[in-house]
Amino acid sequence: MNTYYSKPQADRLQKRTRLCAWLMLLVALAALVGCIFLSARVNTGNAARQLVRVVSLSTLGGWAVMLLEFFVRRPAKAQHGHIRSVLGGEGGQYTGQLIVGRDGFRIPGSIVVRKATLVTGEETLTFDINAALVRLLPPAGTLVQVDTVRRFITRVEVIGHEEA
Amino acid sequence: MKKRKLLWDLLPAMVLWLMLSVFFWGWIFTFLTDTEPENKLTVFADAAIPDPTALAVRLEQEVLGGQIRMVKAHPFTYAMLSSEGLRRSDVYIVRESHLEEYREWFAPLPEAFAAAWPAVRLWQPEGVPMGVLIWDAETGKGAAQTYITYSDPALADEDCYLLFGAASPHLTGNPGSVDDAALQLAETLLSLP
Repeated sequence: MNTYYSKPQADRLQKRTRLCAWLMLLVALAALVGCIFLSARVNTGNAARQLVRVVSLSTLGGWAVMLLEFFVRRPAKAQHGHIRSVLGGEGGQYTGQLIVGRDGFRIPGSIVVRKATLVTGEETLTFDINAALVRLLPPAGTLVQVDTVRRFITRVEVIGHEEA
Repeated sequence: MKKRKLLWDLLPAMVLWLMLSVFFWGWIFTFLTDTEPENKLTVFADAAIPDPTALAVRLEQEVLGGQIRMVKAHPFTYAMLSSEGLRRSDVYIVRESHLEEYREWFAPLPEAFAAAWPAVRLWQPEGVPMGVLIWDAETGKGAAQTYITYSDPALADEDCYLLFGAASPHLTGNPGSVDDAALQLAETLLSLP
């Protein structure tokens, strides 16, 4: 059984977001202090070399902050925001075979989701699933029981392997 | 693949940051590596200086102190965009054929300085000592040859003279003069190998 949404998960992601923000601030400050320190040690003989060092430090510090922002903090913040919006909502429980679409789309300011179709005996239902969770799903064709909240699949339990 | 695409999308921003870093710190360094004329000594040479930084560092070993915080050494070609810095130089090294052309930039030699170099040929237009021979084209000998290339393959060799700037704040008798550090600079130049 995989429960994809929980308060501990949300808390972990929030903590990661905050830690990353502090790390970015630390990296930026360290780069700035380093540049100021190097600039203060400029003299006639080393001016050209110090300029190269200062530009290198400033550039690498800026790049590190950018990479942390776009690869760590923003994704964590988006996931946290999404989990918080889903938790506590009302939904339902369904049984059937789950088929996940290949294409995803980004909810503005939030996560990437993919369409998931649940084929029950009587009907075909469409839900959304966090694209980051697709790799955790059982193979297509597996009989599963899913919980949903606000059309998002929040839990998947494998029941068996059975043709619909 | 997604992360690679995101990295590719970030590339313009990273290149922009690199350019901003270069321009911003380059601008900051123009202030760090310069100062007011009263706090620096400048020598402009009508000759090639292969390593101006090395010459400036060598001169700083002798003249730093008091109000003097830095020495700058440049060839005349450094001032190709504007002659303002050239006109305010403290010491000049000029080829003989250009002495009359730039004469208005030069101050008369201080008497004590001229007297300290009695064996050296002087440039004395209308009997007024203004320049001291620093490189003799005939013998190929002179001062500061380690730092200044007096011979130019494109031009005929000619004598070079050391002169003081008429606008230098480091020469007693000039308007706005604060000290006599230009004399020490000139003496150091004349004693360099």
